[in-house]
Amino acid sequence: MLASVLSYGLTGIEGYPMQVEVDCREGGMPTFETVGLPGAAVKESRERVRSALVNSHLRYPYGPTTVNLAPADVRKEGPRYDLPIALGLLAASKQLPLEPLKELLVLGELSLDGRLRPITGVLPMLIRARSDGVKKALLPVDNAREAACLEGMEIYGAESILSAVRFLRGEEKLEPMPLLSYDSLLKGTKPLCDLSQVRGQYAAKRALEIAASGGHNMLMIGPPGSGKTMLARCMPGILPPMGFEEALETTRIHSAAGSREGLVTQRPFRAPHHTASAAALVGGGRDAMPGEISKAHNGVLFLDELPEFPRIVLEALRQPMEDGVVHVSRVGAQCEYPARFSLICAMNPCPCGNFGSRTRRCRCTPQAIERYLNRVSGPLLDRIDLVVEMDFVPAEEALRDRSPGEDSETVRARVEKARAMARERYKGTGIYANAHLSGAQLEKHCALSGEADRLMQAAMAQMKLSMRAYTRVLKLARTLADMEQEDRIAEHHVAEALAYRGAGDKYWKG
Amino acid sequence: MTREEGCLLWLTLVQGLGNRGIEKLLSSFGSAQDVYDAGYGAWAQVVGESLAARMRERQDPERINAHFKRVRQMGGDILTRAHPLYPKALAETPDAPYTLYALGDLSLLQGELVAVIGSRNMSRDGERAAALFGAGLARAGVTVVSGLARGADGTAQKAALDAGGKSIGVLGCGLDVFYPPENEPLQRRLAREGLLLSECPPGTPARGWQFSARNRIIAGLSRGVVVVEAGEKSGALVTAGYAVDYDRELFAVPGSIFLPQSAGSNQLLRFSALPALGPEDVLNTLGLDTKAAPGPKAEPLPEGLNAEERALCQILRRGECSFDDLVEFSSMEPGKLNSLLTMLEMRGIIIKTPGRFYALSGGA
Repeated sequence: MLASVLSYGLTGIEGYPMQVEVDCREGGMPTFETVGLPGAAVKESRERVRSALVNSHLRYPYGPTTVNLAPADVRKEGPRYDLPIALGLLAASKQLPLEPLKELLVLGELSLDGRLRPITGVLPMLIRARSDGVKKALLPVDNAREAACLEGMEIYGAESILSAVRFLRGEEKLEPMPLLSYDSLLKGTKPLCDLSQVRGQYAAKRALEIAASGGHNMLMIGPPGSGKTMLARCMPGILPPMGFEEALETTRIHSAAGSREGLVTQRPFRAPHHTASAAALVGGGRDAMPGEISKAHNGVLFLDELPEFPRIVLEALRQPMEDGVVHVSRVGAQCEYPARFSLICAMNPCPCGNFGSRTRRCRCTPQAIERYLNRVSGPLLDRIDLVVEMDFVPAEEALRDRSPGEDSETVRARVEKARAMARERYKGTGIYANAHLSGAQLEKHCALSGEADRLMQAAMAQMKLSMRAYTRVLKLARTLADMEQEDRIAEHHVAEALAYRGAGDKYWKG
Repeated sequence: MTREEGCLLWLTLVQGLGNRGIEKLLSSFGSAQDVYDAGYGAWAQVVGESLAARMRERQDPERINAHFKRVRQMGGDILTRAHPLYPKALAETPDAPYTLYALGDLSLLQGELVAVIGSRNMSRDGERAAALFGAGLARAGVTVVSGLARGADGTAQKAALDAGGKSIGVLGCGLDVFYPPENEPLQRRLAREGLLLSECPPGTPARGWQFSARNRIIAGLSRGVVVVEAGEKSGALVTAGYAVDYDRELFAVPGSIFLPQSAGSNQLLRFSALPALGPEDVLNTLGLDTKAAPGPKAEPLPEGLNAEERALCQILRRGECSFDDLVEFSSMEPGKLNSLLTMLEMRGIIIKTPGRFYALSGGA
């Protein structure tokens, strides 16, 4: 007899519907064939299914059996089809009625004793299923909890194959998972690191707020121990909270990459080590898995020790930074992953880190310092609007003398106001933050006049600003004006914007 | 070149002989010519066979002449001890070099020579002091002697030239070798407007020990030695040591007791050095005219500052400040402060040093 169970597959972060068809005749040679491009884990499914059924006191049908995973031309990976195959077998051998399996999405891995194990990538598949109009899903209980944030779907969590079978036979009642509202999830989140924990470093804190307000990328230059990493960790906490759709998108990526933490409600903070390869950063591997930049989608990508990153790796970031998406093509799959993130970089002022210190000696020659700075890719620097030099704080002094200052919550409120102003201005233009301004839009929204213009001209001449540097200063000045809710860019906005450019110019003339 | 000079040159070109070897030979034979004529057997008794063999190998009038010509062709001179222009003060020191290669204005050797030296790693104040003494002494007609190193040396010499004065750079490598490389423009300028000296033949690469050896030349040439700033293990202290040995006036510029960069120069003050609070201290002690040398004085704040800018300048007057310090002292918002600082920087009233320290630009 023939049975068909609805399941879902995953390519990249996109789910697709899949039918698990089981054809089973009793009597005859006991063969078991899985077709439809099964991967190794899918082929091994037979052994887990047989043991699980037998150990759950269910009958394993002996006879010629064929399992087809349709569409048959897409490669299937992982153990997530154990449960649909087992249920298909039971239905095909008349141990289960066919009716309740209709329109029920089934996913799950089996252990030999019949219990259900959680699988990865549930959320992207369910999100797709929900938009395909699937109303019910049967999942391992751990996955069901993770999926409970999805509105408009009844999610049933089963402990074991036996409880799944009893549920489908109507012998046992399972309650659908209670819906977890997004707001309640949001409330439970706490930022990684609060700004009030960072003492001193007023300039860098200010720069961080500007970066958050205008969506600017930022580079911190400072000696080891000056709090660069800690500040970067504060960034997710001062960005406005993610909306539900943003959270879903981010979650799809993380879930596809193997996370089982349910809905990602907090803006991600990714800090890949500088030995990471280009593939690890932008995505790759045989199955074109998402890389760090996609995992940082809607959040923060932090590159510590920027000059230590191989140039080729940094160059690979340019296109995704421009487009907000990255296309990864590999043998096993071609995928498109979103990758819109705030970039924060950090580096030492010289190889030993003590250049400019008043207390520690720098042993680097000027040539060594120049070589070190030149290792950073120029085109990448062009995409960084904000360069800030950290203060050299001796640790004991920092803890004693400096007041803690504002917390992330207060700063975030201001950031939201500034962002709202920019959003309002750019309505219908497709951009939403000052960092994305270019060309005609830049001229329209960042026009300078009077004092501000005079200062800018003087600065161009005196600091020998390049055209690129000029536009960066303009964009920053626009953000600074937004932070004060001003329509016009004033002189002091330009002056302050120049301060974040000036720091960079000392290191990179241009 | 006289025969005696040629023979001295020959001796300095024998590798491994060194100053001490030459001294031994000269005291045994009388003059360089006598050494030249004595022959292998006699040399071997004084300096041993291997060195004597090298002397014989080098004993080739044509090669010595060619070497001399090469130096002349690059515009240089060779001053041997027998040369009339060989600096007298230096000649009196115990370990004076037998030959000096020179490039530039030899008449400077007859002037008043004062060394201004210091560490390579300087504080902002050390840099200011180097420039102040370099320029101040130069304006008073003193020729500033230094080692053309990174940091204090180069700063002082550049200030001296910029002030329209004269300067002598004593190198630890060949005159045609640029070390440190970033001082190449200054080295070329000294060859044009001042004088370069070295005891190493042209082409000699920079090696560590040669630099401490050249320090004795700096001290030997000069009447006085001013240490503007030196850390605990600075090479400037070696020069100071020579200055004491050679009975030169030793000055040190007092520095903060908290800064590691001035630990060494402050030590000098504890022992024998005279405190130099400005170029006129040095000039007075050496009995030179002080009229043209302005001391460091608190310059009045520039005109046309608004209240906030004035407040910032008042804070900076007390010494350089980090950004965090400025925020604490002025109680201004960081954004506001950044904007003010940029304006002041653009007007040239303050400067920003590496490590984001701010200072008033006046004074140096």
